[in-house]
Amino acid sequence: MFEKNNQAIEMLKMLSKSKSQSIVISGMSGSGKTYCAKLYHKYMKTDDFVLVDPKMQDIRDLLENIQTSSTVCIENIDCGVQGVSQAVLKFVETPPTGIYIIITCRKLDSIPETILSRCAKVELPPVSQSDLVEYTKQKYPANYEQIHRKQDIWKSITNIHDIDWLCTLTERQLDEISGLYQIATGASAVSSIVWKLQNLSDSTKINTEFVLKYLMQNSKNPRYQDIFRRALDDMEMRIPAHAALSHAIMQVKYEVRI
Amino acid sequence: MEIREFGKQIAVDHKPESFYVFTGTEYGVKRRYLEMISDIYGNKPMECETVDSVLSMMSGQHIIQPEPMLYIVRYDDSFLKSLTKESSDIIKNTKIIGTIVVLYDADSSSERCEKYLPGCTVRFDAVSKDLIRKYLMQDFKDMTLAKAEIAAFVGKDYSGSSLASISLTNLDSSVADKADHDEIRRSLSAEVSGNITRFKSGIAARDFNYCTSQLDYMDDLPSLLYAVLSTMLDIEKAIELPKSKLWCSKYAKNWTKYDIVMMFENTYSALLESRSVSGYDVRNALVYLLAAMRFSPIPAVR
Repeated sequence: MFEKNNQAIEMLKMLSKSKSQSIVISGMSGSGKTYCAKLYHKYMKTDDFVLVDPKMQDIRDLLENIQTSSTVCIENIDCGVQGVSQAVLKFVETPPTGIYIIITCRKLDSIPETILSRCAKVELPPVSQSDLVEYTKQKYPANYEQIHRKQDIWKSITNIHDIDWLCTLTERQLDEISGLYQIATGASAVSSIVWKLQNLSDSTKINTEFVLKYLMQNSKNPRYQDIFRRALDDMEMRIPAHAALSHAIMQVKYEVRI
Repeated sequence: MEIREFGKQIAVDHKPESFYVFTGTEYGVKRRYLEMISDIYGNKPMECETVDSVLSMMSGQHIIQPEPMLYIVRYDDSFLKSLTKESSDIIKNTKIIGTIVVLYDADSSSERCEKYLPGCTVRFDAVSKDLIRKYLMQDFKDMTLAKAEIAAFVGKDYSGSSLASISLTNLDSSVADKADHDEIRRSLSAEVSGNITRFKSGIAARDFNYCTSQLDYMDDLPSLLYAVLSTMLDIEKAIELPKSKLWCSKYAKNWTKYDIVMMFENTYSALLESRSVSGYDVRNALVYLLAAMRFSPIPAVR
């Protein structure tokens, strides 16, 4: 676990002593939110740990079927449809005995005040560069040099999910990743550019969030950096990745003023 | 005017007259003839708000003679209301450079137009299956008679049959000849009415009335926003790759790159708003987007 998260872990220990039943854990993707939720399940010694997507039907099923002595983690509630928060509010207002609910999100301000006021809050700091280096060296010692050498790729990494994925790629595939900016600023049809940005030549899928981070980090043009940053923000607002990327490329290609 | 006589003027003689009124609900066939007239002049048609505006253009002084072209006026109710013997005489006496086509669909418009503009009004109602089959064989490359028969049967009109033809594109010809046609028809019928493919075709054709009429048949209105986005990407590709045989290639000439970008931006903005505003009225947003599509250049819709 990352060093900077020690403070968050101490807070979780305190909350477990007071048997807090509703907790919101916020932090960037890959910062350790689900890991902390599992830690809380361990501290509370519940029988079950249930991971739930922020979908209306899943939340409804949960409310109907939840067993006693469970820790429920609703992941990334700000990625769910509107209305999910309302369904969760009912659960948070009167939690059944023996049930502990952990809500994770990327941004605290995306959660209604009515839920926040009823939950303890734990914030995880962004993953630092030293954390990423440490993580890669420990988990992927053979890959560390290969990836770290490619600075254009390394500076685009913001979380451990990026590292987990990049370490599955070969040297040749990583070289293709380094060509993404040329592709994005090419003159082909927008849909063709988007396809090439999402697929390596051997049909390996490229994570769109990483593509946008790569393009943002490697654009010297400040306008392009803004375009790609906005696309990432749009994805956080639950715009599908393909739509957000297509929009960004359309703006780059046709010099659309934001 | 009988549709056969009109068809001969356009398809055989290539000599359109200077003024037509198209009435009736066969949008697909109307669209087809508009494309043919536009091809005769060899330039993009001009969309105009009113008949009056086009006639004013024609009767003004010209330093440089305008090129003959197709002028399209859609659903100009004020023209219909003001139609009299006198106004029809003005039209006959105006030197029109090119062709003006005024579009309506209601039956009441047919009667009025036929009364004051006999010989100019062409009615497109319930085109026969034989004619639909003939059009499909002309319009779709590699269309076989068997596939055209199925498509003509399934589609309620030429637009529906065109959509059915797209669905049949990948159907092997030998299968179309021998397979249980009733079975194919049944499965295609379920597809053709109120589906996304039909809607996308309407967008590509910039057919406002058609697209808005489809809104009532769609269960999932937010998915139509994605349909618009993907249609714009397809049209943009068709323009970039004119030799490619995309489903929308024949509609590419309806669009400029500017219009594609604006339609994409407007739709994407609506999508963003739908994610951030609770109780967002998607239907209303779609109507605004479709209305903006009638103009070229397409304005920003916020």
